[in-house]
Amino acid sequence: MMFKLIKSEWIKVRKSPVWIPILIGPMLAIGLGMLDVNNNHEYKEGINRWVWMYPMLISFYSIMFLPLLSGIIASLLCRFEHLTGGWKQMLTLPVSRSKIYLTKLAYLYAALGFTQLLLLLGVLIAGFMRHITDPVPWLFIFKSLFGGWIALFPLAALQLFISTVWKSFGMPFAINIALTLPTIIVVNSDTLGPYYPWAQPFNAMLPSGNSPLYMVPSALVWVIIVGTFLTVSSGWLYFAKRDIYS
Amino acid sequence: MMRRVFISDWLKMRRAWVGSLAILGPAGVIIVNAAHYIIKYNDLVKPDSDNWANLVQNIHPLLVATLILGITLLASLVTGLEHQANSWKMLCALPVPKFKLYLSKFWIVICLLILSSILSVLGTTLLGISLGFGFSIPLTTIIFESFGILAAATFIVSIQLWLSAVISNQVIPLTIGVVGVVFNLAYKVMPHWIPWVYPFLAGPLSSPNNETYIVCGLVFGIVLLLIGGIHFSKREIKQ
Repeated sequence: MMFKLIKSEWIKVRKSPVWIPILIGPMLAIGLGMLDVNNNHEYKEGINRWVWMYPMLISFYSIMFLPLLSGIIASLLCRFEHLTGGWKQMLTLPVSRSKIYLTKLAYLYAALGFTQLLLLLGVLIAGFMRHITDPVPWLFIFKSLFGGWIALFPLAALQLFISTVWKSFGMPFAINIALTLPTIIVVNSDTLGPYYPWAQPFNAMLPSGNSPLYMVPSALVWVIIVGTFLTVSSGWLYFAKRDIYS
Repeated sequence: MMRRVFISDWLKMRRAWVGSLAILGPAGVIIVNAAHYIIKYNDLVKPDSDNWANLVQNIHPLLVATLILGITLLASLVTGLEHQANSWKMLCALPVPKFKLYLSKFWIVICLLILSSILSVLGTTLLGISLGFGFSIPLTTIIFESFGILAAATFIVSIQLWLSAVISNQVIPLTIGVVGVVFNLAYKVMPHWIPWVYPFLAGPLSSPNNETYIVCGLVFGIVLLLIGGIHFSKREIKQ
């Protein structure tokens, strides 16, 4: 049943412009990062060049772009049903509401995971364009990308919740902006940094220290687990119980 | 005629909470900066430095980012109503020149942004006073900060409005707005002629020749508004 739902959702998704933000993101990160590397930073001896270059490539991307991207994709996934009264049709089908919600959530997470993979591709391209001959620190990069992906779970689930509530594109986007903007300031502060959920993608993607292995601070992990649980369950419960007007 | 078009557009917008957004934007910026100052008071406030200038400089990045995202959102909202209800045909069939309709939407966004700028001036002043920076308020600097970046952002308003009006799926204008904010944050590496960088460089304390960016933003904004309006009035409405 779930598999059929996923297939039917795929038919909706593949025609939508969801590919545009997904493809732009990594290109943006790499482009900006390359400009940054060229202009600003001197190479320090003794560090693997990839590890040196990596934080510059992903800083703008993970602070601003990833949370906003999750909001855009969440709104896009719900757009089909909001327009033309599709929720009524969708929910009269003999499929449980929970499964529908979970399918959308799964697609959202998959899209964000795909974006992270594209970012990996972009990082490799950026490295080759800079003629870096050091060995690629695969473990480091994978840990960072995976950590960033996991750190997006609570944000994305909240965005999906909000997108199912509001019909227009505007309100979910406004809420997303309002919660993402303080990130610029929060990542610089030590007291709030580990706790603010919108700063977690940045914290998770950026290594602490320059060694190939890094230990993720436990505050981050707890915030993510609790946050994911809260947002997913509240969105799920709301969706399962609501009356449909549109 | 223009006044009536403007009033009718304004009535439409009442439902979309745009007023609250215009107020929430600067309020949010001031509150976040207040929290930042309170937490890091000793780092940010040093006894002999120019505290008001530092305040303006610290508020600047968040204010500009909020402004650009706010512009994206407002442009999407004012055109979103017609896109959602598919009422462009109805609107354009009225005996009003389409250019005036386009212009009235632009004017609504600008009025809301002017309101936001006034609030941000008030908020900055209040924040400075309550943090104990004394009463020698550099009002010119603060006013130039808020209204200067608004003037420089006119270019972005024109771009976003044109994109939101012409493209029915709002994802593309929103994505471009988000990309614009990222460009804006990366102002150090971006070439200085990119429109989204103008507001950042237009602040009185941000760059040596900030007046250029204010003037450029205004002039290009008005030029693009005229071009966009003419394009809008000539195109065929498909839905």
